[in-house]
Amino acid sequence: MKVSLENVSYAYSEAPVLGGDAGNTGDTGDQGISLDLREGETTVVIGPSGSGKSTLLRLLAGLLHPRTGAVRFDGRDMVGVPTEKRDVGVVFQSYALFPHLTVRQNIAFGLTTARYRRQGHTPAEVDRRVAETAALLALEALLDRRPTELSGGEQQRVAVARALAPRPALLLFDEPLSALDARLRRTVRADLSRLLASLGTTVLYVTHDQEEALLLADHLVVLNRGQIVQQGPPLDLYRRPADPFVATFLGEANLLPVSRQGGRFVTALGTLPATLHVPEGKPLLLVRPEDLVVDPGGVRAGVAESRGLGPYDRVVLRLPGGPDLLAHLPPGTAPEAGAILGIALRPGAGHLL
Amino acid sequence: MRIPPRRIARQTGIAWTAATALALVAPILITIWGAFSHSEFYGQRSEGAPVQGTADLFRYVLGIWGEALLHSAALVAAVVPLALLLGAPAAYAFRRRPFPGARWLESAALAPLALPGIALAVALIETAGGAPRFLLLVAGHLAYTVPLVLKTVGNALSGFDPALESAAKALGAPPVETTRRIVLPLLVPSLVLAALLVFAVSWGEFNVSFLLATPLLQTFPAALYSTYTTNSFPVAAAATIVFLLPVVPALLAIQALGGEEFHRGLPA
Repeated sequence: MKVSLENVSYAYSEAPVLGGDAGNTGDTGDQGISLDLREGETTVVIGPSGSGKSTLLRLLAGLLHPRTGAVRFDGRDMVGVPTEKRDVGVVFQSYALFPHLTVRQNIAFGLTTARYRRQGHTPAEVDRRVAETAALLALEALLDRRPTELSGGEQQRVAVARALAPRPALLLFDEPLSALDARLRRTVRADLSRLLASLGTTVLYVTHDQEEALLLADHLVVLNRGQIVQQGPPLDLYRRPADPFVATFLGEANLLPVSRQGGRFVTALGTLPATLHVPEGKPLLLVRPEDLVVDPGGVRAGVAESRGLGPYDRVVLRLPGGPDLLAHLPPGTAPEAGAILGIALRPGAGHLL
Repeated sequence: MRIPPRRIARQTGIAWTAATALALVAPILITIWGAFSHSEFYGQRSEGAPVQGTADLFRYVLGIWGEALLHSAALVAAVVPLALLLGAPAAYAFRRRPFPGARWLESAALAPLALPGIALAVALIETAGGAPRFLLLVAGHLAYTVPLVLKTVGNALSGFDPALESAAKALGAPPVETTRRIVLPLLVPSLVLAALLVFAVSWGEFNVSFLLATPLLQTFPAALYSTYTTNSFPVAAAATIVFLLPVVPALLAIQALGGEEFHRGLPA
């Protein structure tokens, strides 16, 4: 299903939440949000809390209705169409599993409501679909349990299965992994990524976790203060963010001021290659921690902090007269704190904004 | 030997609880003792026949106050469903569809609990004195019982995630189906508890019932008053036991509903 938001804004008791002048910046005026979800792709919306990302999801679900603008499903304006008449599935942050029903009854719920009775499904079909969906999420052994008898990860899978069973044309995920602990989140994230890729359903996934966003997104949208700051392929946004907010939100970032000296552009890491396009105003050079390499011919830097984290060594470098730089060096290669080393930008790395 | 202060605190607590329980139960125990342990002769019937023996005592009590018992039963039968029908939807509106001033209004709805029965009774007669007396009794009892429903059902609603209702809608259930399949089953424990509380309060309510009573329409607690003032203590005590009989199962049921299984909601 092709889904689009056209110039949509939403306000909660007169306070703009999405679109409009939600950030009180004064420069966005009454402009709403416009966004297309590509058919069969996973669009991830990432933003800090209060950025309006959950509001965006609820507008698509029909749990909220926009103040201005249109929400279109395959071209049809859905404003005023209640949730139960929209072909959507929602996975809630709290899972919202029905506590008085078994896992089987939870998954079957969407196959037995008014919406699906109209399609004339037989009880045998419902059973088959429940079994199919349970198999997809490895829930066969848990079908007769109550939600309270399940672990967090199992509850999460039931929530996904329940949303999936009616095969909605649009799947909405509202921070579905935020209640899981870090270790479990990694495995569930990977499973979910495989599942979404295999389904081919149009998906909107809301999160504040950048790793989740980079792993799951076909298309990444960064939201801040009710406005879309930047959108595109996830790695593009990580490598070439439009502004310091996107740069720091999607990962750790060193932002170095750039000064003009004669015809050349200079940073604390040295002169920039002439091939880089330097924007007007007060440009900043984005250096990701993994973009820094040890180079005896590079800029001299003192090691202020040094700690091996396993996959990489985390090092804080102090440049004379310059800012501190965060660097991720290959594991086991970082010198102790107090040492002096030469540091340089990896060839091809760095982005000006 | 020094006794650790924590142990003293614990034992004081136990003693306190026991004393409270005793203070609550003692009047009932005295009443039961009063009904069963007195002499063979309890009094004289108006037509002259003496009341003799425990069985005859209860027969006598039912004979004079049987009609009042029926009035009380009819009143409770009307008040329990009406209190639920008025209170439960209102509790839902307060907790799920908050409007400006909802919190204030919800607190204000508890005020009748503190209203003296005489004030309520006079207010009812002033505003609707011409209405059938039974309806006035029902109205008076609702004023004392709807707040209980508001509170019990309201607390139950606060105890479950509003996202459950959003989830049901997203799965294709219109509001009526969501209420029938999700909200009501989850509220059953609180509705049963509310019904039992309403029953207990309405069955024992004296003030309003006494003030609104007519010679032809007396509830049992109101009738009990004249029993205590005119008959001997054993007769009144026996009447009290008759009155308490339906309350005991209700109280036991309220106690039993503390179970966790029940509070998770009923299976579909």
